[in-house]
Amino acid sequence: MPLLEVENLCLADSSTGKLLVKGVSFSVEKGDVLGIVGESGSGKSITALSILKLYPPGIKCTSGKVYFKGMSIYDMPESEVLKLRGKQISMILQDPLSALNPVLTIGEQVEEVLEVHSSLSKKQRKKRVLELLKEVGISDPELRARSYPHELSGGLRQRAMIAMALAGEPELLIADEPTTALDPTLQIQVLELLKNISQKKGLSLIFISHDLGVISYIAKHIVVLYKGEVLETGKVEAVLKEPLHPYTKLLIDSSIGLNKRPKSCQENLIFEEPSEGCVFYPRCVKRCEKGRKEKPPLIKVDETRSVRCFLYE
Amino acid sequence: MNKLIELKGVYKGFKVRTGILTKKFVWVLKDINLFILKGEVLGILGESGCGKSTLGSVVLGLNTPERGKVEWYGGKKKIQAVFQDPYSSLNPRYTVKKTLLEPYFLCVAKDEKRGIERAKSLLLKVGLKEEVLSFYPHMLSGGQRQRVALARALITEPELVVLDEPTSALDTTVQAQILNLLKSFKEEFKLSYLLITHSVPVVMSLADRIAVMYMGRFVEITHKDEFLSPPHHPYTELLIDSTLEVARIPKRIKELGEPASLISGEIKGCVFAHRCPYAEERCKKLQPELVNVTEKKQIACFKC
Repeated sequence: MPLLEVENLCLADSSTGKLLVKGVSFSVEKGDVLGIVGESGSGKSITALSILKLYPPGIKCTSGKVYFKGMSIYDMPESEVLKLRGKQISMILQDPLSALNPVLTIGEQVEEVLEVHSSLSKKQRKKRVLELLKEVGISDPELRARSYPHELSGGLRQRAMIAMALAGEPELLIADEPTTALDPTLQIQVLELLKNISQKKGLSLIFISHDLGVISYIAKHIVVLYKGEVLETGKVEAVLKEPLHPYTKLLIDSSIGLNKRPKSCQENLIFEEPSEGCVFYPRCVKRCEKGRKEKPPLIKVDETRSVRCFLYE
Repeated sequence: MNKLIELKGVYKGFKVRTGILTKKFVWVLKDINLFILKGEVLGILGESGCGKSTLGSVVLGLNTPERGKVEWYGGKKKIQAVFQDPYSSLNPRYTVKKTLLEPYFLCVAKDEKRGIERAKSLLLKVGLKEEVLSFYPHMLSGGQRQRVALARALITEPELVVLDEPTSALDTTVQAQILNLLKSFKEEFKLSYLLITHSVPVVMSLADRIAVMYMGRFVEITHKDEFLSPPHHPYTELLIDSTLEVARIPKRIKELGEPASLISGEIKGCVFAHRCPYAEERCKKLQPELVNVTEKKQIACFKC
């Protein structure tokens, strides 16, 4: 049984009823790192928040199920979900400065998680806070525990967020673009920290990013999202080495590196007309006639790999 | 080739609020010497707070340096800029037509008919349709807005364009398109760029020469073809090793320090010594000068 299973999740704008996430399914095994890659507007962040029933304002869930260790989160009473949040499943977000409370010290905020989710005494909690801060690579934890968020640099703030997320000893950590706001030299430090923690503790990770370079560094499995639909899934190496979906191929061709210039990417249209068929049809270079009118299903190519494209029927 | 612009010994500082009543003077640019040749792309590589955008504003003439000189060779100064965030750099109350014609009227000619013609041809060049002329910015996507910003910069026929993180707010696929556009415009209009970015891949895709900046100083200036091969300034090495890309496993990073802030005060010795894995005693006392290591490479490090 997978640790987490998202089944046919549909999210819609509650005022217009427009579907933003259209039947997304994926699962995470214990100890797995699942990377969700997608550009802005792909629905990756609202999907992540909805796992814990934290729908952003103006978004409602129209159908779908989320199972954590076989229990359906959406059918639990709210009090049960509360116990899950920050305890068995925790989150870190992109911008630590707006996610942290500016009027509490770092130590107080980490301790708060322990207060809610553990039975430790006050003294034990204080000790545990320092251990946690040390674990996430914060040097001089006594001093940093007394600091306020604005006194720390971006990298330290994100480490403090990770300490808070680890305080409940979660089994699953959802990280939504946790390094996007950081400079490259700090980004790699935070990624390495998350990778080490996940390996050492067998912690499962859902890692969301728009950056394929980051995903290829940290993830084992990948889900490619585009306009609220899963276009391709599989093991990271396989997908990056041999992308099946034209969109995945476009993403790889457009990402640049030390010796990798942007290819003059073939792409149809800058102005997109909405399509009734395949979501990627307007930009696709391989446009098949069937995709214009009909939506392709997610086709299973082999045990670990699926792609939503008529070319693989 | 001819120099287009040159900065000689430029120092720029600001008063920074450090408390409710206290202010402190901080040097943001220290002893900056640079030139840009005609038709050349100079990349400025550095992380947040290193002073790279301040350098851009000095080149644009939006900030006057406290010390040093900015010299423009050749007639009328023709500089334009494209900024990071196309959401805030376009006026939301202006249609694309007004956005493009305003600089044309100011800098080229007060001729509406020819201005519109030029605007139309530029829009096509940046990959937009003529209809966009009547659009407001909110009707466009991020990539489309950045294309409008690019057209606005080009309409005055500049010789130098300051590109301040032109693609870092954009999605991967859009970034590739904009980088390709910038490259083709450089050749077509014989433009020079000052490209400011934190990304090694971006600077490698566009620049001819790369200047690496750390805490207000240049620590390395190198031609692109030698940039990835050693010797490196230790900071350049760190930047290269930290670069993540598809299917490349980065080296283990040797350094674990946090960057210091400019506000924390003057640093004695080399600006990078506090994070440098190779730092020695002398590095903490003296700031090394830029020296030619090869014909195409200048590094400010005692080790090189």
